[in-house]
Formats: sequence, structure tokens, C-alpha cells
Amino acid sequence: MTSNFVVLAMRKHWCCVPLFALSLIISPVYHVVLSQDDQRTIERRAMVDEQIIARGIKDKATIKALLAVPRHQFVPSNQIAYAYNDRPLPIGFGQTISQPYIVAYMTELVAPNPRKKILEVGTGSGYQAAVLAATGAQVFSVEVIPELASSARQRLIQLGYKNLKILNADGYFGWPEFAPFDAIIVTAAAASIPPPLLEQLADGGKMVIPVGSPFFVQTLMQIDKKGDQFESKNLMPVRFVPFRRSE
Amino acid sequence: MTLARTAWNRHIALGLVSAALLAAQVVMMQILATSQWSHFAALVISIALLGFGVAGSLLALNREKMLKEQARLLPVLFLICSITLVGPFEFAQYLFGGFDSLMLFSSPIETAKLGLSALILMCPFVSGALGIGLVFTAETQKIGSYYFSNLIGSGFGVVIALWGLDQLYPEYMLPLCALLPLIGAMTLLGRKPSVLWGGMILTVFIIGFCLAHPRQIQLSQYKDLQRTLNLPGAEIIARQPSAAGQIHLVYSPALHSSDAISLRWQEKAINAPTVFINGNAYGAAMISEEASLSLDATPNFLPYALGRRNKVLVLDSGTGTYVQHALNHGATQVTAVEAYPDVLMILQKTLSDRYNQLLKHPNVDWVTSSPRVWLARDNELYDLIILPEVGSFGGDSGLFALAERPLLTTEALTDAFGQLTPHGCLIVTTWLDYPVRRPVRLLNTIVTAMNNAKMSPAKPYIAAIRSWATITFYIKRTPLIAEEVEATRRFAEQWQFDLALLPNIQTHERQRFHKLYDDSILGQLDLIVSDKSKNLFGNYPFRIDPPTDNQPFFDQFLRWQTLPELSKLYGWRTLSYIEIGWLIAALSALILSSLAIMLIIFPLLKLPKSTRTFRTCLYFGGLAFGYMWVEMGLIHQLTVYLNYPTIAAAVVIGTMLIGSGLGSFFSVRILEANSCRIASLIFFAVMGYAMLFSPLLTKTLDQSHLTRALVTISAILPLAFLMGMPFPLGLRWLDKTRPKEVPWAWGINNCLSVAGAAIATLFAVEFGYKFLLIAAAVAYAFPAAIRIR
Repeated sequence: MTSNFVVLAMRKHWCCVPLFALSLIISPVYHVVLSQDDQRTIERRAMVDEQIIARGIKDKATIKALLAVPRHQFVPSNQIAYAYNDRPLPIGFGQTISQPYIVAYMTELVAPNPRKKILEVGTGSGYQAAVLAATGAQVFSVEVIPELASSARQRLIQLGYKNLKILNADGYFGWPEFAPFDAIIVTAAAASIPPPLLEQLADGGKMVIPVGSPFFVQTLMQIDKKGDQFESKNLMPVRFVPFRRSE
Repeated sequence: MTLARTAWNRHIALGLVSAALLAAQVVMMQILATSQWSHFAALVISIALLGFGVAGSLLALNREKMLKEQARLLPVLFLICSITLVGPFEFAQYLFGGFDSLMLFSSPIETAKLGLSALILMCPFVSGALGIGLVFTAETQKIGSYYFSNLIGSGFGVVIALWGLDQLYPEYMLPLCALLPLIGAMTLLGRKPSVLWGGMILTVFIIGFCLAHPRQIQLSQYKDLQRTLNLPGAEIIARQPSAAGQIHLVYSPALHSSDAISLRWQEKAINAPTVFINGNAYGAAMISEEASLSLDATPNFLPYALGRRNKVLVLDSGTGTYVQHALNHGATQVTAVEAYPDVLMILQKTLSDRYNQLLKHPNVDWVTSSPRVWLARDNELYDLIILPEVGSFGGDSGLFALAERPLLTTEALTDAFGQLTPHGCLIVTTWLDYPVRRPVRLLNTIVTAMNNAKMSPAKPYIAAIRSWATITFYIKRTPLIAEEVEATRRFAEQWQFDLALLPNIQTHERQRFHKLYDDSILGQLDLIVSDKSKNLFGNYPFRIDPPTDNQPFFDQFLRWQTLPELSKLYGWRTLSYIEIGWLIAALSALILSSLAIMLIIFPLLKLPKSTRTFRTCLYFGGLAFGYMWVEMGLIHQLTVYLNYPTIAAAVVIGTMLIGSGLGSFFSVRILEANSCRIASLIFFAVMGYAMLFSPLLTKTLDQSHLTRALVTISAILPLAFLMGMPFPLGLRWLDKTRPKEVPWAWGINNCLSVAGAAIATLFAVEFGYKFLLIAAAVAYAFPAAIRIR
């Protein structure tokens, strides 16, 4: 039926033929692209609802940022299908892109806003930096592995983030040029907290460090600076209910 | 060629192939321990046994054809064995190198890669074992002498592997192993030109190429060494082969080594080269003045803050960091005990400016020994004993769950407390983990040892201070006096550490600087020092009971009884990230047992039902489990006694093979009907070993290396001699009475050997070495109960 109609139309309006052919070629591609994007948007929405809001993240700026940043563009092509899953994913060089909830939790902890300057140590894929930048905060991110720094920079430029700078350097020394920072997120945590980072933290600022193996963040360490005093707090990701022995 | 010469050549070829297969196993173990973790190294034994089993099944199904073509087939099989020792391993290495073991439970692709790697690594064992089996099948009535060649060759293979790994890097060793079956094939081949000779020349070229252009071991991206090499400017400044584990010394300007230092420390970072053993971080070469000063800002400084320490014992002294620290604080005699002397040698060679002075320091006595053995041997008293750090920053996901920690047992700590002067103290630091496991188990072990050393109740003897990431336990031989309590308070205040345990501790002192979201750990520590820990053990979802010398697996925290509860709490995937070690061992046992059933038993089901009797199954199955469990039990038990796991494995496997070979050789003089009597004898002997072997080891732990090696060999050899008899006797009995059942017997024995080896480690970890030996004795009860007429 449809094909008869098309043939009739073609006889009457022969000039439509090339346009029709073009539409036949483009439409499936367009359809696929559109549906993939739609699909990712749906997955992202579900991720935020089920993994973020349902677990107690309330900060509106954080939620908005997580909805806005296309996480699937920050993972290797063979991991895209799992991009919105509730787990960290490998990005190469022994590094991972953190589980969405951990990113949200850390973002909420530092409460980013356009007036804040935030340093991230360990850019990795650039996802955490993008989420922070999506809140309007000034983000400075340092990555020690040149390949990761370069790919993250390229990706973030392509996605149009302007309030974000990436430096390929040893994160141990922070980024003194732009110090002090209102908050520092150390995603590539080491077994010592670098004194230069503590120095670059503004008075009243906070540093957040996820502690754990590459695939499992056990706790989050928060360090508050008050004058020349530091106070550490061991925070538990809400995902993991308080662990107490059964009575 | 005369018949006698043919037989002689067959013996030589058999011995060479057996040597190659055993040497390849030891080499592959080291390669996989480096590229991945030790769990995968243990897999090699099961993979090799699986190869033997598959060969048995192939032989059973094609027995007549293969026997007819044996003269032509044997050199071909040995040639294939030679080629596959080099080629497929390269491919498997590629798979293993890119294999994310941490994602084993979350990605089916990684599980498939593990299975595929096992199949690829199996190839040389299948072809080699098929050749060996073919000789055995063709010469059943002379099996004693051929079995002898096989076992002597295997024993020799272990020696080659150990010597080779000490002299050469592992990537050179597999091509060298491949030469042995190649020579074996040559001895079986006539001098006439043939296609096979062409194949052999080609193989020589391949081996030559691999030796000229060895491929570096591809490391998992999560190995400490690989992660360090990813840092800018990272370079391997020295490398040394060692049978105990190859050593790398790496430097990068981005390496900063000031673990868990106080947040008040404001000085610049300590940038020092780091040592890696089998790809795992072993320690930084922190012996400079600055490095020593930085240690003053860690809880490890507490003993010096409380008083002068003249005589100091540093166990697992590693790169000498704590030795230098003790000297800097006035120690007049430091005893540094280290099991890996090669570490210091490589440091002295590479960083001579720093290390020459330390290694020649008149106040330091450098001892090469397992620290556990040293504690048993040494009679000196010390003012301070320093134990190595426990765990690592952020946890290790249970990757070391199956590794023995001989220093962290109640017996070891009891010995250590016995070596303290009245005012002496022991210090040990553990990294905090979540869910809390390490600190609680460590304190449990300490308090149990204190009870043994009559230092109870424990509370007045212990101080514990907590930094942002660690807890340090300080235990004094006599109760802490008021001045020491106050000095501990001052030290904690100075560096902003919190007090976790101290006589008369106040609640507000426990979370002043480092607040805990979940402070239940503090209550648990209180329970333990109040001797109420028994209530804690039973209810805790993780294993926190004190490890013993019979079960020295400090890092194995998973309790299978609470797995459903834990998986409900964390989810299976997350649980596998918390404690992956035991789960990997269990998964590997499952995969290998399934492969063994599929590849060994299923093909044999094609044989007529009358040739698959339950009686044969019990006899040969019992032998398989019994042999493997005795072997694995002894390897585990001797790891501490002989200092190194590789040495223990080599000595046990070598002695077992030679002993069993002699037993097998002797078995030709024994009537088949006596096999059940011999199995009964083994049953009682193994029971005796289960009861007496451990006390024997403890009694002789203080002897020299040589004496201990002799004790080991003379203790194992008689048992191995007996254990070598029932298998050839059983085969001879079957060959005489029901020859068609021989393949079934082979298949069952091989399949259950694979499963037995894989299960053995789980049994040892879960129930201890003694249990493993008792289980082995019970397994021998089955062949003992079957009467041969």
C-alpha cells in the first residue's frame, strides 16, 4: 500500500525523487542516533533517580549536574553499555571512573557553586571534573598520567566546558598558581596526604578523599582546615549501610 | 635400533619431558604471580593436572590406534609439547596481561578469559602427558621402571626451575624448558631424514628467536609495579631474577613515600626508589635523614617518644627504613631480619652511596631468615620489636587472602613477647579498613598471645593510637606506668593523633582529630582488651579469630557461613571487591573441576558401562585426593619452615616425586594383592603425620637451613615412597584382571587430582593444615578398604 503510494507520488512529482532517496538514507541513521541519545538520557535519568536521589543525595546543583553530564562519553567505547550502571568502570592505566553515587556524594560534600574554586587531583576520565564544572564552579584538575590528561582535556573541550582547566602534572604539588581552593577532591588518593595540598586549601575549606581499592570505595575521608588545624572525618558512603555486628 | 636401545631412549625421553613439564609449572607459577596475583599461580598445578587428565581420556578413547602408531606418534607428541611450551603461552600471557581479575565477578568476558587462558596453558601438558601415558600404556608390565623415569625426571625439573629462576628472568625460562622435550623427541627419532626433522629444526629456530627476543611479562594494569611504571619519568633502575620472586627497583619523580604521616607534617615529600617483588610493592628505600625525620611524624615514633631503645629487633626489615630510624634514635644494637636478602643486595648495588654505610654499620646485625623462624631460634632480649605494617592503604580487596602471614599468628606473637626485656615493647601498625576487619583481628591475635605470655588482663599493657588512616598498637612487656601514659598523650597531641586504647583513657580523647562515622570499632577494641572477645567472634560476619601456625591466613576474612548475609548487605559484586581472594580460589576450583569433568569424564562415558565400575572409581579417586592433599598440605605447612613458598613447593614436589618414583620402582617386586595393605599403611602414616608433623617442625624450627632441609626430606621421603606404590599396583591389577578398565582408572585419578589440588587450598585456609592431612588419610581409607583378588 505504502509502496504504491510512493510510486504514484514519484510519477507526479519526479523532482521529489532525489529528496526522497536522501531521506531514505538519512532517516535510519538519524533515527538510530536520536534513539541512542534518547536511550542514554533515559538511562541517565534512571541512574539519578535510582542510584543518586534514592540514596539520599539532596543537593539540587549536584543532581542537575549529574543529569546534564553525559557519562557515557567519559568511558571507553567497550564500556558504553555499562556507563550508567551502579559501579566503577576501568578506563585504562589501572584507573577507574568512579561509581556514579560516589561522584555525586563527593560533589554534594564540597557543595560547588559559581563562587567556588575547586581543585581535583586525579582527572582520570574527566567525569568528576565535568560534574563539578556543570554546577558553575571554577574547576582546576591535575592528572599525572599524560595520556589520561590529554584525552580528558580533548573530551571536555569537545563537550564545551569553559570553566575548567586541566594540567598534566604531579598532583602531589597541587596547582599553586590558582591557590587557595575552597575545596579539593583527591580522586587519585595515595597513602599520604600531601602537605602542599593542605597548604593550598583555603581557611574553612574541605578536602575529600575516597579511600579504597580501584573498584571499591570503602570510605570517604573529609579533612577540614581551620586556621592551622586540620580535622579528619571518616565518612561512609550511604550506599553501604552502617556495618555493625549482629547482636 | 636394538630393543634395549629403544627402551633406554624411551626412558631418557620420558625423563626429559617430565622434567620440562614440572619446570614449566614452576616457571608459569612465577610468571602468573608477577603478571597477576598468587591465586593464579596456584591455578597452574590444577591446569597441569587437567592437561594430564585430558591426555588420559584421549588415550583411553584411541588406545588401540595410538598403540599401533606409538613409534611414530611419540616424537610428534614431544615436538608438539616443545612448541606449545613457547607459542600458546605468549598468547595466554597476552590474555592474562589484559585480564582484569578485579572484574572477574562483574564481567562475564573476564571469566571467559580465565577459562580460555586455562585451556591454552593446558596445551603443552596435554601433548606431553599423552606421550608419557602412551609409554605407560604400551609398557604396563614394566610400568615401575617407566614411572620411576617419569618421577625422577619431574624431580629434576623442579631443580632446573629453581636454579634457572635464580639465574635468569622467567621470560627466558620457558623457551629453555621447551628444549627438553625437543631433545626427547630427537632421541626417539631415527637418523633418516623425515618431515619431523624439518619440524624440529623449525622448533629450534622458534626457541632461538624467543631466547634472542624475550617478551617482557605483561602486567595487569592494577599491579603496583604497572601503576608505578605509568607515572611520568618512571624507570626500572635495577632488576634481579630470584626463585623467591623477581625483584624490580623503580624510580619516578612522582613517587612520594610518606605513608600515613601526620597532617601536621609540613616538610617536602620523600622521593625514594621503590622495591617490588613479583610486581607487588615491597617498600621504599627511605633511609635518608629526611626520611627518618618524616617517620618521627608517624605513630611508629611512639616507642622512641616513651624512652630510649638500645636493642631493637626489626622483623621483615625490607629496605632498611626502620633500621635506619632506630639508629637515628640511638639504638646501640639493631638486628634486622629479612627473608629476601636479594633486596638489600640490589639496593647496595644500585644505591651504594646510601646503602654501603647502613649495610656496614657496626651496630646492625643483618640476618637472612624467615622472621618467624628467627623468633623461634633467637634467645636474645630486645627493648623494641618492630613488626611490619599490616594491610595497605585503602585495602587490597582480599587479593592476598590465600597468602600465609607467619608473623601474625598467636604462636609467633607469643614468641615475640617472650623476647622483650621487662621494659621492652612491641609495635605494629595496621591500615584501617572498612568494613572493619584488620585492626580487630590483629588486636585479637595480640591479646590471645598476651594471655599465652601471661600478660593478662591486657588493658594495662596496651596503648593504641590512631592516625587518619592507621592504628598503631604498642604493647609493653610490663604494665605501662603513669609517666608513659602521659608521654603517649603528649605525643598524640603533638602530632594530632587520636588515642584508641590507653589505661584510663577518656571518651573525648578517642575522636578529637579524626572523627569516625562508624565508631563501633572502638567498642570492639574495648571488648577485646577486656577479654570479652569470645562474644565478638561468633557474631561477626567476617573472620576475626586469631590465626595460628596451623592456619596462618591473617588476610582471609571471608566466612562462607555468612556469605548469604554479606551478599545481602553489600551485593555479590561489591562483596567480590571487598574480599576477592577466597572467591577467586573458589571460582577457579569450580571452573577447573567443571573443565575436568567435561574434558576427562564425559569423553570416557562413551566406553561400555561394564568398564566403568564404582570400585575402580573409589580406589583411584581415593588415591588422587589422598596424594594431592598430602602434597598440598605439606607445601603449605613447610612454607614457613623453609622460608619461601617457592622453595617449599619445590622441595615437597621434588621429594614426593623422587620418593614416589622409588616406591613405584620397588612396587614391581610386590604382589598386586598387597595394594590394600599398603594403602592401609599410608592411612595410618598420614594420620601420624597429621598429629606429629607440626610438633616436629616446631621442635626443629630453631635449627640451621641445612638441618631443616634434611629434616624435611627425611620426614617426607618414607611417606612418599609408600605413596608411590598403590597407583602402579592398582594399574597392574586392572591390566591383569580387567584391562578395559584402565582408561577409566586413569580418567578418574586425573579428574579428581585436578579437583583435589584446587580444593586443597580452600580446605587449608578454611580448616587448617592438620585437617587437610586428616582428610588425605580418610581418602586413602577407600583404596585400603578395597580388596584385590
